[in-house]
Amino acid sequence: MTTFPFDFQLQQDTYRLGLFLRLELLVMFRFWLGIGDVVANIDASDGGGSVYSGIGEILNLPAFSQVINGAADRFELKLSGVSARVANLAATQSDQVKGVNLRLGVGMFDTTWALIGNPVWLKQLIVDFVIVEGDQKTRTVGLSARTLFTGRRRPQASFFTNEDQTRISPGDRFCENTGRYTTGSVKTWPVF
Amino acid sequence: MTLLQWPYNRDRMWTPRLVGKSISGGRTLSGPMIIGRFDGGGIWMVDAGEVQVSTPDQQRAWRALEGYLDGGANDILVPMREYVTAPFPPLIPPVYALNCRNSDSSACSDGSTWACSLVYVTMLATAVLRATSLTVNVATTGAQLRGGEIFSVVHPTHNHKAYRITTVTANGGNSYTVGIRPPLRDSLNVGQELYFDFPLCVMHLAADNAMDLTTTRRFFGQGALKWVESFPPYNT
Repeated sequence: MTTFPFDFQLQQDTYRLGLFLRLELLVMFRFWLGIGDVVANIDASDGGGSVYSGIGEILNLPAFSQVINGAADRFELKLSGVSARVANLAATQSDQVKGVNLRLGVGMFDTTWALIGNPVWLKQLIVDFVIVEGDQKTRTVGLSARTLFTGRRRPQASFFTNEDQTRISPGDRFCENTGRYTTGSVKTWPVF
Repeated sequence: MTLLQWPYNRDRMWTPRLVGKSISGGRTLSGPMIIGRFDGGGIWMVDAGEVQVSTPDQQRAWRALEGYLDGGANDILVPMREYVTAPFPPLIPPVYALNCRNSDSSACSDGSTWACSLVYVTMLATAVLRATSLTVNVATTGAQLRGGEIFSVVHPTHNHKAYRITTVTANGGNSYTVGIRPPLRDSLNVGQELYFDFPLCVMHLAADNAMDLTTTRRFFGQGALKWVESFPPYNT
């Protein structure tokens, strides 16, 4: 039976958790929501171990949701208190992150704050656009990311008509006789 | 990269603390209260209260530093020295820099001597990033590490970073294995010195109005400061 790598630690009364993020730009942007740097080797992209920079903030990460029935899922990651220069960069160079993969993962530390094994990725998202907000006191920049099921270009619902099916699978005769059914009728599966 | 240093020992109230971030889901039905920490070891924050600004020179220095620190936009080295807990050898007056001589007790050719630490502690083994256990050599006779001491290390990019000793294990001779918090901000090499005499830490003001100073009849006053540990790149 496959278990989550940190099952034992999560069963304790206290645990030390690290939230890791990686923005897969041309130059990988690795960071984690803790203080100080951490060397982690999460997957092949990290080589023999890469430094994840600590940003020292607990961001309000929204809850992860398992996509069932294809519901649209959007994830927003925000950081407040940035300088005007950072906010300006975010606003003018947002096209550089569009379509970039964003991975979120979790790692566990032991009582000496050493990583237990390597963190694991929990979610992969695609960055859509950069968020820039602010009032007179606080500037906030963020990323809005989606899953594969969030895209608005999904086609309209299709029907089991012969035309729809043959368009999807040319030569397929599965829906050849659906036009012979009356609306509301129930076709009982034959008993042999 | 040159950082200014905050004047030492003008504060009457001093609270250095390692601040972490944890969350809890509350007490469970079976009794345990589950707590999760997310900060990776903590960050230094220092509260300095009743900072005495009594003379015209001190007022001028306060105003000048207020302008220099720019409401927390600039960094500064904050003394983390705790006189009563520093591991000074008994019966020897602690001074920041001793006049050290060569091994044959001679001085330099012009008569000057070397400046060195009273408590001289160096690394005996390398330590990696985020290590929480160090093997050190305590060269000063009579200096005894017990736990709770604050020291600092100069890292190549992080400048002075402060750490606190949590556990001490004697390995025989002058060798000790000490536990530290927070985890190392960067790796350390053999021979690197740990500064116990006058530890420092790069910090910045925690609030943009932290240096507001109210004076009595414009003669004297006292201020209160909150510092928070700063990370590179530093504004100098």
